[in-house]
Amino acid sequence: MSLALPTPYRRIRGFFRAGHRSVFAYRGNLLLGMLGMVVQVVLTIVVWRVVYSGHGAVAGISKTTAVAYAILAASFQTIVMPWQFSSIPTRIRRGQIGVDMVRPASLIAQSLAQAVGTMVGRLPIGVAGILTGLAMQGLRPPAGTVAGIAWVASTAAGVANVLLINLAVSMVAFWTLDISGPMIVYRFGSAFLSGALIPLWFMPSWLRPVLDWLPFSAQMYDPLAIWFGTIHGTGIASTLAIQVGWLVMLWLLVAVIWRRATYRVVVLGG
Amino acid sequence: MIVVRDLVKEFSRPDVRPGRLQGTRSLFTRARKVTRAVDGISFDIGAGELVGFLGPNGAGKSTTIKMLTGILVPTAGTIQVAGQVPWRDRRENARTVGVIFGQRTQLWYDLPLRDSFDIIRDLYAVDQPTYERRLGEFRELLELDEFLDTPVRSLSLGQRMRGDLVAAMLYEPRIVYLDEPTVGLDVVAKARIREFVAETNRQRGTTIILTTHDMDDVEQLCQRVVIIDHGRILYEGDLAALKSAYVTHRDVVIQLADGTGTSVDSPYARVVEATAEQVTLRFDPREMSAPAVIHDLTSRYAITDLSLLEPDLEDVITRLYTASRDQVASR
Amino acid sequence: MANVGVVREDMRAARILLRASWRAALQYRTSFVTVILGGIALQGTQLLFIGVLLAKFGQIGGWRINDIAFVFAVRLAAHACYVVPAGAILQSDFLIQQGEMDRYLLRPAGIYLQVITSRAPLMALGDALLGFGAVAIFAPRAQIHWSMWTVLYLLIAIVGGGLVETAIQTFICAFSFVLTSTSSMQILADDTVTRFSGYPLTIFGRWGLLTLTFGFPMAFIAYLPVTVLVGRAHDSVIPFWLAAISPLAGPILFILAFAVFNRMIRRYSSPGS
Repeated sequence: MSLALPTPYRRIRGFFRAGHRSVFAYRGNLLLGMLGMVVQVVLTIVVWRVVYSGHGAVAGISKTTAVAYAILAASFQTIVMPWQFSSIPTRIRRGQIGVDMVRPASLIAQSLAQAVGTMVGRLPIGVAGILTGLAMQGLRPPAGTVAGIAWVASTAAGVANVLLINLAVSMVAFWTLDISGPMIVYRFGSAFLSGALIPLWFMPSWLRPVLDWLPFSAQMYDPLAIWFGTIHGTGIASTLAIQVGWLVMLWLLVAVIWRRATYRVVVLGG
Repeated sequence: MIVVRDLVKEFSRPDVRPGRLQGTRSLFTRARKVTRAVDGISFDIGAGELVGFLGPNGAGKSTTIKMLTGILVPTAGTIQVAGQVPWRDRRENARTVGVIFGQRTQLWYDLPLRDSFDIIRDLYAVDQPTYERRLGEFRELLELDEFLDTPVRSLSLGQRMRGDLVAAMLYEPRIVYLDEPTVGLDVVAKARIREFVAETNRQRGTTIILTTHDMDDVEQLCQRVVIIDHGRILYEGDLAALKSAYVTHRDVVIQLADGTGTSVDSPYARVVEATAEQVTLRFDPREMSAPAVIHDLTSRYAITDLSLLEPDLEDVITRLYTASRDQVASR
Repeated sequence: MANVGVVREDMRAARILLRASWRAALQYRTSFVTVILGGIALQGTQLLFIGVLLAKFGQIGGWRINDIAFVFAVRLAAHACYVVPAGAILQSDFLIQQGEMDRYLLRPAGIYLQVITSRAPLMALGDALLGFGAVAIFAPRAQIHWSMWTVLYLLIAIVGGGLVETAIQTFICAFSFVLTSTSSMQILADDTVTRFSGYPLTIFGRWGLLTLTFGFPMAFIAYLPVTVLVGRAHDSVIPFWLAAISPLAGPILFILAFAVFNRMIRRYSSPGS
């Protein structure tokens, strides 16, 4: 039974499905993704446990917290930050962007729908990571009910953050057709700065102020810090406020880039 | 030149019934579905012939061509091209054949057209004097000068096709395969390509194998045709014989300015449909020539527009297929 | 002998095709610097990771900072030796999809050769910079006595390590001819090697080390040769003689993978047939 949605929404739902299906497009793609996740989580847990052997708490963080963080971060990252950015750069390259420029809201909504679709498609891979973490007794529950609830809100804000930044970076494609360089710098730079690769607790102290002024920590580190209770009490409220603040700024940034992009459409291969 | 015996090609795919959770189920199924794309084809092509390969999409034409060119390895049967087995003697075969795919270019996308020719010259070890002579001929025949230094990605379809023709023939291959060379081109471009292909076949005795859906391509170029459907040869032989056997009618549609459509008639053709402005007439091309019908109509009526409809290839093949099926049934 | 002529032909073809790929790559002038940065960013993040870890923890699995940093550096250099000549092998799925592979089968040159020369190794130059830079920095600091022989061993090990990674990806990409997509396997292999081949693999336990030597031959890339250089090759379940000849694994594995690649071409079913 399908809902009878008005046409623009149906189109967007189509993009959601496209993103979702792309994950299944090839037999074994998902299975291998899950296998890869299992391997990665197992090896990561081993590395962290070995790294911690002979140490108590480091930078105030215990071994169990560090291991649990690594599992959750890896699972989150694999769902939310797939290799493929939005379809915008590909469509620009193929010259398919012209028609959609007429309806700006629709292009952005389409890209977001596709990104969300892909994320939903990748959920099984993240789940594989979580299950592996459980099997290796690496996971820890949230620091309390408040922490748990706040974590949900914080994660939602983090996902929105990722979507908006991805969109903004993809739109660089309106200016330069070959964006693989900036894309990779962004992806791995942000992976490092968001706490995805290594918890920000361990970053050298001189780097901390820089991190506070960038939106990346709001993607991964903030939600997880809330989960593990290193941010607690009133800190939770202020963290959430900052996350929302970043969302507002990113939304404005996307709007500004978009307006400049509409003046600069280069249609390749017409 | 080309000898094909009992050629067979099978493809095997995971077999998943469409439906709910199709994606997930495809991960776990082990059942495979085997399709026989080519089911026992045999034919010969002599040196210097210009042969057309016809058939609906999915008939097995491109699979056959890919086996002839060495891209695919046959499941069974034998192929000999100029004394070599294409998929086994791949490199030597590559030097003797030129291949043009209508849908995909072999040119280097980001470089000027001229660079692609230089690269081909180097790859195929064509010596400089021969290269310059050949390029000179092509430049004249195909009018390349205006876009020789343009990057390939900026070329129009017609220009790119011409570029591909040169690239495929630069090293003087003895056999050339053309896969849908005129698809998407305008009338002028099509004519130019056909002219060039015919010239090449005539002047140099290059064996040419042409896959096409365009009946005019066939009419103007092919001496022989091979019609393939469902992986089998439906018809193989002279084009003239094919027409006389299976093309029983062609239609002419005329537009009239003075609204006298309903009173039009012709001693050469039968009226099929008529309104005040437009009349469709039908004639048998085996008995009557199109020019005769047209000349008669234009000399007696005030015609503003006229089109001669092509005989539907699908029609011919359907008739062929029905005929062969009837043949099987009557045994 | 026919094979010598073929090799010479292919060397010629390689030069011609590479020149073309470079010219094509240089058309996109705007991204040159960012592309090289991109190349560094990918592997460099791992280096940053290990740097931060070591700064906070001091040692891993009994190996001190300098020696671990050296293993990472060797791994990065080996990676450069793979990605500069043969990085384009990862395009195999794309080339098949786009119909390029069909065209390669019609040219008088080796298929593998045409695949790896299909793209100029622009981003890979960043890897080379990073890898050899890292070795230059960390080699003097490692607890190794550097003589002509140990330097030679190191260089052979780096090239051998590059060949191991090339062999792994070549083997996976061989299956592009029969599977719709190998990108997941490529990424899985690449990810695992990127993240974990720079650690002393003893931290993964006995079975972990054995799997990573004989199952997925990652140990041959940097770990085993370095254990010989730092004098730790007697410590583990891997016999000393195997660790000592570990640089040879590269050529052997590559020849095997190359043979598999060429066999798989026969089972190719081109798209749109």
